[in-house]
Amino acid sequence: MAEIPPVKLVLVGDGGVGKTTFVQRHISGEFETRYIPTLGVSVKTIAFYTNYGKFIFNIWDTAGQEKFGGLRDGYYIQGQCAIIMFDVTSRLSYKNCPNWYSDLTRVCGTEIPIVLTGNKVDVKDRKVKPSQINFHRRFNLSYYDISAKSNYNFEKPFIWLASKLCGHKDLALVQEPTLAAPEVALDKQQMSQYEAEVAAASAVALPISDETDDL
Amino acid sequence: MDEFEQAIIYSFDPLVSEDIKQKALAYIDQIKNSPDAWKFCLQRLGQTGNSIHLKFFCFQIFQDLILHKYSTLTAEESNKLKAGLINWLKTHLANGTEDPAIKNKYSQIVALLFKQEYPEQWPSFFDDYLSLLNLGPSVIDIFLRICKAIDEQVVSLAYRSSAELAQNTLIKDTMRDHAIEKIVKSWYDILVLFSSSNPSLINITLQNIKHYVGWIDINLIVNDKFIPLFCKFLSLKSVREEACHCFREIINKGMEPYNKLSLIQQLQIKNIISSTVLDDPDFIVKVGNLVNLTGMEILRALETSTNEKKFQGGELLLDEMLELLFKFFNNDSNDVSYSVYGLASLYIHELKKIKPLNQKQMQHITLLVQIVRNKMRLKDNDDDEINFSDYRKDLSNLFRNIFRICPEMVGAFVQSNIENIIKNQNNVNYFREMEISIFLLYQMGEGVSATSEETLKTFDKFFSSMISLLAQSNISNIKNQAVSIIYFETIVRYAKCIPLEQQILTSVLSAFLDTRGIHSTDPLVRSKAGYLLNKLVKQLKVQIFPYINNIIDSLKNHITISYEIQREVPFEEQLNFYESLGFLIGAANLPINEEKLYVEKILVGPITKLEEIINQQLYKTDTKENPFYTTQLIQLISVIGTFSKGFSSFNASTGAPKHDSYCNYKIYFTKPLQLIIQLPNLIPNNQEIILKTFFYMHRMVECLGKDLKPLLVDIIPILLNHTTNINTLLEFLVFINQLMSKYKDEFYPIINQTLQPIIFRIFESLNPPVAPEEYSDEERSLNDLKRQYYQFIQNILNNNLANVFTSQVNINLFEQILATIINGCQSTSSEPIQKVSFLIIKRLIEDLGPGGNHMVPGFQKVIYDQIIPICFQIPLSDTFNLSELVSVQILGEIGKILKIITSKYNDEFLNYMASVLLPTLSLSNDQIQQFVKLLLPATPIKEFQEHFTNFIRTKRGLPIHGKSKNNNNNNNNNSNNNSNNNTNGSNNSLPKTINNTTTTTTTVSSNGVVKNNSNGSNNFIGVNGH
Repeated sequence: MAEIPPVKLVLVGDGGVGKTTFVQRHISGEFETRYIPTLGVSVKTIAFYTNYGKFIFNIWDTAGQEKFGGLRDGYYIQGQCAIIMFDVTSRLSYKNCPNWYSDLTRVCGTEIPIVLTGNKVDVKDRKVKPSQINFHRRFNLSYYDISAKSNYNFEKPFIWLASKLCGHKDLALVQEPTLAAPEVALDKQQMSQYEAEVAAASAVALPISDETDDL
Repeated sequence: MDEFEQAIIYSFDPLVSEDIKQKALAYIDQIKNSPDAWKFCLQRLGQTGNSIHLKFFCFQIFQDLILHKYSTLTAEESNKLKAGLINWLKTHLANGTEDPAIKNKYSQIVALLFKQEYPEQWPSFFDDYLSLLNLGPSVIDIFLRICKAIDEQVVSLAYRSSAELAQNTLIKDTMRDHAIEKIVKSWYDILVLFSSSNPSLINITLQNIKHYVGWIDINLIVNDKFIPLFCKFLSLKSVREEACHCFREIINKGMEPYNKLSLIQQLQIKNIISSTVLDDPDFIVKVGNLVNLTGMEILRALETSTNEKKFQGGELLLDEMLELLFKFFNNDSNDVSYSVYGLASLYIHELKKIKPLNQKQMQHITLLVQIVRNKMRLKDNDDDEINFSDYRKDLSNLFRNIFRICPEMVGAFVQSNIENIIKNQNNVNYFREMEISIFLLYQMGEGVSATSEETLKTFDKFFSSMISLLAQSNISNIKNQAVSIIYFETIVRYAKCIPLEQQILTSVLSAFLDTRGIHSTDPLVRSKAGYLLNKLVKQLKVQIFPYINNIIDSLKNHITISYEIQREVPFEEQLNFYESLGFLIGAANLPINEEKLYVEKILVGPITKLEEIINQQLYKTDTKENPFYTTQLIQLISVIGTFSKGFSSFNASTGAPKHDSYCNYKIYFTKPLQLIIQLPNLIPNNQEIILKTFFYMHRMVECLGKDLKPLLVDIIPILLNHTTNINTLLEFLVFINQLMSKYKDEFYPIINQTLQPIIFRIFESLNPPVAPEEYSDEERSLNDLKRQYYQFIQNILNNNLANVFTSQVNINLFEQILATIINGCQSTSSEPIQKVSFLIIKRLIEDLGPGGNHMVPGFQKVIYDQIIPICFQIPLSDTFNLSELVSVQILGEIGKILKIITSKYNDEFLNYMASVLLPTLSLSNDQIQQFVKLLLPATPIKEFQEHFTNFIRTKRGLPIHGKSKNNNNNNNNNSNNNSNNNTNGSNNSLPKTINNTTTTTTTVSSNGVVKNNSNGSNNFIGVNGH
């Protein structure tokens, strides 16, 4: 199969939502994480083996601690896809997603595939309920509940991005990624309930609003 | 490339070595921190050949300046910045070679600067930029990007402070008054000038219009100049999608219903849509969105428009859109179909309100149910963006709503569908029709519950006849996964409607039990059949029992707990079978010998294996990598416990204990219990073993009832010993709570002996040697434990076990517990804990005070020294947030507490209030008398609670929400208010006398650490004191 050149993936979201924990879940012997302490950006390279070949993502994990409007967007230059992450136990981190989206698309354009992810669904007192998550539908992003600590849905955002990037809807993994052992066990029943709720939420007609802008 | 540029590039390059990067960063920081960095950057940007990273860096310096340091600039300096930016547009952006990221960044910076300067400092902003448009397409492009960025910065982005909102409104108003007409004119000129030469400029202009149309005068756009242009663009492939968006935003604009309908009529949307060329799915979806929005707007406007000003021709507009709806909704592509889903859904919602439907509406709804069915049918090629199963869920929703509106029509429709598949029952190629027809039948059941009783009855018969048709057909033999699954689901959905004729029941069960069901070679079908069989059995226990031997025969192999079997039938599926068998045998009320026969058939295997592993200590050969026997043990406990779900020593409806003669089964579960309870000691520190043991214990409370009680004295200490972390401790408390609610005061001897170790165990966990980090998982679980602790204390009281606190063994401990309750009352960081603490206090006074079930003489001192003070202290403190609902509830509880104390101590307490406590709160004599009078039993509790709430609010200087019905009270409130003004100074600090009576305050801080601030006595909870 043809070699696919590495893809630059930008990972954004408020501080503390779990971006770094998320990327660190993937254990790959081939690469090491490079951390740029002062700038707070680290680039982790991870690979996925799919039925359309090997996909290499260079994940630019930018520090979220700095407030919105900070000087982070330089790292988005030439980003080919992105993950916006929020924390389902923090409403504010969800409310800030449109800001992250607008920052991203200003630099990368609206054509790049972007996934919205809600992290920490393993936590019992979830604040942002599946029915409240609708921001992504306005802009045709995909959404996944994830839990970095338990590896829940870890690969989903990457599979979606990869399938968008190569234009094959039936893209699938041919080899499970090697992940660190889960730190917490998930309540399976709870997760299937969330899945049902995510599906139910997407069934509710969305109030008409701004559509994707093309650059 | 100079040093500066090199440093920036290094800083962005993850592959550069660490020491070079550090040097680069130091160099950049030095520039960043210089106050004149922006001047340097302005100058640097003037050069040619700069890299994208350098340009971006310079713009970030401007961004930082404008957002955070703008006030430090002199007028001259800000003019320099403005001029510099305009100049860069002329010299660099004008040649059109910059990267889009730079064009956008520049536009963002200009918009941010605009926000600082417009209108006061830079009234000519738009004139300045508009005057540059003659420099050519590249400059026009930037101008349009700036307009877009302004909309983003000033109008559309959410979450702003109110100060910012005010500024934004001023900007918008000024733009509307002075600039927008010029901007709109420029848009028009651009559209005309570039209509055939530059699609990208057309698109971005249309985007501008789309964004602005919502907040500018609509007549600037909806006129003879723009609309014909938009129509023309709709037929040009390169720009038609944005033109479509413009129409959408025009129709989306907020306005009066009447005006909205006139607008839609004036636009002649139907003609516009009919003239589009629907050749590409993406574009059809956009047009679909336009149909959807227009239709929904018409429906909403028709509904809200008043009778006095009825719009002529509204019905016609609606009919035109509905015609388009049917066409788009039935489109092959689900993406197109979904684009008008909102309109279909809203229309059906509107029809729900109309009774009876007229002929036209009947036609519509009949057509809709057919389309819904078509769209729900499985597809063979799925190349849609939207997920089919999600869309099918939406459509099922519509189908159920249609069913509720027209039950007869839908019933006849489904019946003809079912009869049709029966006719073709041997044709495997007909599987899509089979699947959808049965699926519709299933969905009717989901929708029928919301209909009238009469409809329900009619449809019970209907479902019954459909199910017997299906059960006796060949459809269960069709080898197709989707058909098999929906077949089983539907049979179980209508379990209660299955005709009780032997022939039908036999054919239903055989499908489940043979190779069509749990012996299917398709793992999904097998797994679903097992799960559904369990659901069926639970609903028809008695009717199915006669088949018990067939069922055991069929399951024999499937229920063996062994690795070999589980490779085929996973353990989770095996559990279903054990549950089904338990329910069947348990519900049959068999004679003792017959019951023994059946139970042994199921349980002998697992129990023997359990014995073998424990007695021969096989688990000792387990390794961390291969915990073979431990895993088996866990599975064996699960299956025995799951099987036991069919057996209860309590009557299902009354909850009363059953007679022993109905509980012969108990012996089958006590033997495993003896084995299982050894496991925590034999395999210590194994989270799964201890959790499974708890699972089995929960089961045994139900299953063994009173026979479990004598065993608990031994069992509880074992379990407590193995609560090695907060998680298991929480499980333990759940178990104890279950025991208390089951055995009530009969539990006294046991809890009396075990209370002390339990409490100490909890305190130990609540006082970890190192406090957990804020927001960490550790902190969260500590908070869970804290809540569970208070729940536990409350449960003791609710189950009439208060005497456990005051018994010989525990009386000393009680003092510590009481301290944590008082402390809970003060726990302003957690209102739920505060509330439960006050509830506990109330129960304690009722139970331990005079006349209570467990009265103790010394409790009076606690009431006066500790409880009464906090009843005032806490609501009067600043941290008590009266706008929270739970705080209002707490106030109500305190009101009840004071009333209860009155009922217990009468005059003694009233005198104390009148002469000691209330005078310290700077009240007038009248107010004191009023307070005391309301405490008397003659005053209804509600009235006192209201008075007390108002009293606290007044003291806190908060407005009062008095009820007008009680004028008297209101007057009092007013006088309270007046006197309050005089004593404002001492409002929130309690008088010294009260503070002194509180000798001890123990605080459980938010991170769970129990701190002891007691002055004097040290026997209260201390840090790690045990």
